[in-house]
Amino acid sequence: MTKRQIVKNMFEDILAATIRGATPLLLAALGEVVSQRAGVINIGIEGMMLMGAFFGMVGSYYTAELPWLAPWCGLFIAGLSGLLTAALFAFFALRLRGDQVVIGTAVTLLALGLTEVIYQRLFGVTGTSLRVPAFGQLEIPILSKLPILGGALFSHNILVFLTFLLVPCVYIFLYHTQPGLRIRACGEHPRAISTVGANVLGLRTVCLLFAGAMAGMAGGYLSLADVPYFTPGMTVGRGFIALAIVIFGKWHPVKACGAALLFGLGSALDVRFQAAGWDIPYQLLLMLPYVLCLAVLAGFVGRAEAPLALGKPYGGRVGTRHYP
Amino acid sequence: MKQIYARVLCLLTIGIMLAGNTALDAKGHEKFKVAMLLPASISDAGWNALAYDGLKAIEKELGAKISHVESRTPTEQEEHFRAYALDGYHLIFGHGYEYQDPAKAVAPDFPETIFITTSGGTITENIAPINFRIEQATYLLGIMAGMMTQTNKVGVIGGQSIPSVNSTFMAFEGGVKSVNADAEVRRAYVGNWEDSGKAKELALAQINEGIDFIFPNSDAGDRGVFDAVETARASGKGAYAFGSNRDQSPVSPTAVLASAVITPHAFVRVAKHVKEGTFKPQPYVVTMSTEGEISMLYNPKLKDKVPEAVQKKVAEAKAKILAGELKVPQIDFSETE
Repeated sequence: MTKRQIVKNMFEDILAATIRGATPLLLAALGEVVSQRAGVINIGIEGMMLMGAFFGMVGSYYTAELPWLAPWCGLFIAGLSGLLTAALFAFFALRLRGDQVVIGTAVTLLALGLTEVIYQRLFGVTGTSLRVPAFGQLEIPILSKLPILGGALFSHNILVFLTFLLVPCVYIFLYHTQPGLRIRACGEHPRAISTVGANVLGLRTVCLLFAGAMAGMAGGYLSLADVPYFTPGMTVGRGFIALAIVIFGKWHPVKACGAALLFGLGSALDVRFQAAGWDIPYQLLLMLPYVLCLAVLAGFVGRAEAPLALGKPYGGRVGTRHYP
Repeated sequence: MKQIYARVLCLLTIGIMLAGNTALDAKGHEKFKVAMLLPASISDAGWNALAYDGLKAIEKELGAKISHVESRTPTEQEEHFRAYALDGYHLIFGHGYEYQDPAKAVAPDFPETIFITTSGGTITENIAPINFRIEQATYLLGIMAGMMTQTNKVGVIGGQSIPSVNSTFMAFEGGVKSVNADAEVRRAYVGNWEDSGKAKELALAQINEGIDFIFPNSDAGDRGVFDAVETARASGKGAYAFGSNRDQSPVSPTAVLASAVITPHAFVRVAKHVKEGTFKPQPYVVTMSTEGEISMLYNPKLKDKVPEAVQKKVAEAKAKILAGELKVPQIDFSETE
């Protein structure tokens, strides 16, 4: 190989790894953008991802006789399990107006224990060689053969493409449709929007369920596309990273996409530097994605302004402190 | 009225908890009780699964009452040690190098309880380590990688940089260099013991760098490494992985060439000493010479991919190790204190 080829290969590897790493974060973050725009902080995103990762694997396992359909079944079940977990969250956070941060943490802890217990019940205690049908590599004809970047950009599993297609969809929905406007108003000034007849709690619930389904599918990505199996606790904090990405992305789907890619780039560089055998302590490299995001946030993005009513429960008697 | 009910209920609960405390065997003697603290889930098909196998073997062979818990942070580790000791457990395992400090903090308060850490150099009246010297087997894996590599680049992937893991890497590297002085061994770490996605990315990047043999020692991460090797093999790149701690050939029959294996019997051996009162505060070393508790197992499905010459060399080295003529490079835990 010539030197140029080596550099080109390395560049393409990093780009492909960036996109792979960013996808589950972006998927979860897109749901979270909608939910936070409506005024609900869904801290339970990590738990919902974990539920999705586990039940997605289970769904694919039980439909394994149809290998082409199984990953899709898995993905559906993953989304559904995330949605149901979000429904639990919604009941406590919206209906009973509990503290969203506390409930979110509880949901995450619940998922951590529940998935492992059911996993051990269903598939044995010490971990088996269990693998399930998963999403394969999809090469987009013509585009993936482009000389520069073709392989890195257009040769991924189908969830990667769908996730990035969702970014403009969520953007248009939030900023250029009437329901989108209402959702954003829910997060800024719920009382104002309720005076024109919108159902604030209903809207918030729907947004939260959407965020749950997206987080579930992001978890499904981990166990159905990243690797074809589930290991307990396999999300390892990705839900919290998604949460951070929403803030880095200033509650905007397109900017969140940029933040997710930036974070993906950080992890890709960490992996690549370690594989190249450079003599840098690996602990420093592990910090790279976080440092990169912080630097960009502090240097270029500037002040992040949260939706005004974010995290504040709505409803109850008029004049209580819950009103923004 | 309500308050009285609450009080009665409280007392009842405490009573039941206390009553459940004493487990008696058929003859009315107090049952031998063994507990284990683990750093991660026992479903990792590796390091933690191995320990659970050992605990189950203690239950079966010694008729002990067993219990286990995942404790990750130092605070949790100390709490769990204390809770089991208070509960009258005779023997508590802390499964990993990192359990030494919590054991040191708790053990003086419970002289009746024996604390065993797997890996380590801490020895007091009632603390002792079991040192699984899997290094002898990983040295053999290193010989295999060193002779078979086409690119003169091999890789190791660890969970975190801790002495017990680095020691296996040191031995692996020793094995590689003993047969191929030009080969380069590259190290990488996942940063935790769970993220198989990250471990897979690391392995993929290593393979893209031209590495063709990978030895992972990262618990649940190992599966990610095997998955990466399978993916690479499917796309025509010739790479293999090795298994660590447990026989991992069944986990990935097409990627795992051979494994460095610990048999859970060592746990039973130590527990037996404690039960029969013959326990001494000394390191319990588990090597290839102690009843074959450490071994190197080929994947039966891939053994024919290992050339005769390599198998012969491995067998020779094994014989030398068993005869005591060959000392495998490894970290002395008592000095890393």
